[in-house]
Amino acid sequence: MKLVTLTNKELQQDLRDKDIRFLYPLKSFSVGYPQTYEIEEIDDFLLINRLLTDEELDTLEKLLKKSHIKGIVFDDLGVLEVIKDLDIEKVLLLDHYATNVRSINYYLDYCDSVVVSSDLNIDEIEYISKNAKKEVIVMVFGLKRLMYSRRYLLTNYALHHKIELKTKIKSVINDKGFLILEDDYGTCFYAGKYYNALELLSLKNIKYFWYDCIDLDDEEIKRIIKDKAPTIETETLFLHEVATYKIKGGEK
Amino acid sequence: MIELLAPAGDLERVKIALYYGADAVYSGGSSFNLRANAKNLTKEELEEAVNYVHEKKKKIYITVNIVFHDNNFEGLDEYLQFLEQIKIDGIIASDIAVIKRVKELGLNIPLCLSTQASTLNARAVRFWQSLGVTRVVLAREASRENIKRIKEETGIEIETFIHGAMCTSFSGKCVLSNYITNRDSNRGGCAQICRWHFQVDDQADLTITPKDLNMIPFIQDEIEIGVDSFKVEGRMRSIYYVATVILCYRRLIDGIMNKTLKENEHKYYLAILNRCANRESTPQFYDKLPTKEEQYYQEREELSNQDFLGLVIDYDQERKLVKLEQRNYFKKDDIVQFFGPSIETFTYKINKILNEDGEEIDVARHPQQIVYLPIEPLPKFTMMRLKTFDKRDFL
Repeated sequence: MKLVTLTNKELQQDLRDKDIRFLYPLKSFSVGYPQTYEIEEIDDFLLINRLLTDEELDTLEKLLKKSHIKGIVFDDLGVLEVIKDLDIEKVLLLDHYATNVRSINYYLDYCDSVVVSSDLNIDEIEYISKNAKKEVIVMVFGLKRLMYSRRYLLTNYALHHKIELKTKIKSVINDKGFLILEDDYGTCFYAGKYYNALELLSLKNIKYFWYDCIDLDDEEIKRIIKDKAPTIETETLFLHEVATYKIKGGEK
Repeated sequence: MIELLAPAGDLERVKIALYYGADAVYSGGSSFNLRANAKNLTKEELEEAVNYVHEKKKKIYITVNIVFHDNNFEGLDEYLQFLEQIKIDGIIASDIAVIKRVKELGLNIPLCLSTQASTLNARAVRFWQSLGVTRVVLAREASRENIKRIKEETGIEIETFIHGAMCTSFSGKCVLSNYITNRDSNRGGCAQICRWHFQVDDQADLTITPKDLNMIPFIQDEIEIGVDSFKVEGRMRSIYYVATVILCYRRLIDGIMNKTLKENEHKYYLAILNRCANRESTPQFYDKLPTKEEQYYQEREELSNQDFLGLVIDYDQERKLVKLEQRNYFKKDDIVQFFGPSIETFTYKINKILNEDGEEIDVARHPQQIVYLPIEPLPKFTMMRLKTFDKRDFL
C-alpha cells in the first residue's frame, strides 16, 4: 500500500486507487507543508508533525471528536493519550528517532505502526523491516526534512537585512542545497533535491510506502507514484551512506 | 531543595563545578553519549568521580543519550550494569531502548529523560512516567506556561536549562550535520551546521545561530512554578567557564532563597556571564517566542576569551605566597580580580611575580607556568581573571 501526502484536492481525484491512502497535514498542527487541511476536510489519515503544548493537545482532543479520520500519523508522544480510545490507525512518526528495531518494537506496543527514519541507510532500513514485530512505514520519495526550528528564521533574516520576506527560499552550503520553508509554527530545512528511495519498494513487511511530495507539481507526483519515473533531479541522501558514528562501542 | 546542575566533561571539571557551588554534575562516559568531542570519563574515572561526588554529599548523572542504530547496542547492558554498580544518581537518556532496558535488567538507577526528546507537554511526560522516568529535562522551547502545567499535572521532577548554548532546532530534530558532513548529530557527531553561513542567490548569507540562553531574570519565577533542577549547558567548556557560571547562579539562587539579593545584583552576574562566554545571552523561549533579537547574523566574529589568567593551586605559609598556575599571559602591574566560592571577589594590582626558583620576573607567559604572588592566603581552586566588572558599579 502507498501513503501519499496530499498536496491538493485535485490530486486525490487523479490518484484514487484502492492501493493508495492519503495523508492530510492538519491545519495548525503541521509544520513545513504549504497546503494544510481543516479537520472537516479529512477523510483518511491526518498528519501532525509538530511538537505540541498541552493547550494545543486540548484543542486537538476537541477537534478529533468531530472528525471522520481513519488514521493519524504523529510525532509528539503526547498525542498517544489524546487518541487512546479512538478506533483509528495510529502511526508514530518520531522524526530521526525511529532508528533501531528495539525502540521501534517498544513503540509498537502503543501504536499500529512506526515510520522508520529516513536518516538510515538501506541495510539498516531492511533490517528493521525484517525484525519489527508489526509492519512499518518507509518513506520512498519526497522532500527530506533535515531540521525543524520553532524560530522564525526567514522572518528574522528579512527583518535584519531589511529585505522582502520570503517564506520559501533556496540556499546552499558547499555543494549541498536546501529548501527552507517558514510558516506560523517555525522553520523547516529540507534537502534541496528530492529524496528518491524508490528502490525500497521491494522491501517486505511494509505497511505503507510513503510519498511525501511537498512542493511538487501534480503530473510529476503521478509519474513518480504510478510509473516510478521522476523527471526531476533526485538523490538517495543517506540511503547508501554509512554515517560516521563518533562514539566508541561499549567498553569491555 | 533547588538543584544547581553543572556540566563536567572530565574529573577536573567535576571538582571545580562542585567547589564553585554545584549541587550535582552531569558527565558522559566514553560510551553512548552525545559529546563525542568532549574528553569524557573512562570507567575508572567515572568510578572515581562518583566516589568524589558522593563524599561531598552531592549527585552525579551520566548521559547515555545517543539515538541508537541497531549496530550500536554492543556493550550497552554491561555499561548500564556498571553504572548501577558504581551507584550513579541517574541516567540521562532519550532513546526508549535505554529506558526500557534499564527496567528489563532490573537495575535500580533513576531515569531522567533527556532534552533530546524535546518534551513540551504533560501527556508526553505521563507516557515516559509510565516507563519509569522520574525526571524530565524539558525542551528548551518550553515556555513558563508549559512548564507550570507539566509540573501541576504530573508532579514529575523538572529539570530546565538555565544557561549555555542553544540548538537552532528542537533538540534531536536536526540532521543538518549528517547531510553536510556525514557526522551523525544524534550520535555525538554534531558539526554545528547551524553556526555556518547558508548562501542565498543575490542576497546576504542566511545565518541562523541563536544567542546563548540565560535565565538570570527568571530564576525566581522558575523556582516558584516548581522547577527542581537548574541545568547549565557545556560539557566541553573550560574550567573557567564552569566556575564562573556556576558561581554566578549559586549566588543568585542563594540570594533569592535567603532573601538577600540586592536590587540590580543580577545585572552584575549577567555582565560577568556574557563576558565569560564571549556571547550575548537571553531567556529565549521562556517568556515569548524568540524574535530577531535572539539570534546572531553574519557580522559576528567569535573570539576566544582570554580573561582567565591563573588558578590557585596552593599557599606557601612560610613565604606568604600564593602558588598559581598560569592560564593566560599576564604581567607585572596588571589589574586583576580573584574570585571563588568562599571569598568576596576582590581587585588586585600585581606588583611582584616570582618564578619557581624564587626569582622575580616581569611576565608569566607560558601556559601552566608555576608562579608565586605575594597575597594573603587564598583557597585552592580560587581563580584569577583580568579585572572586568566591579559589583559596586551595578548596585
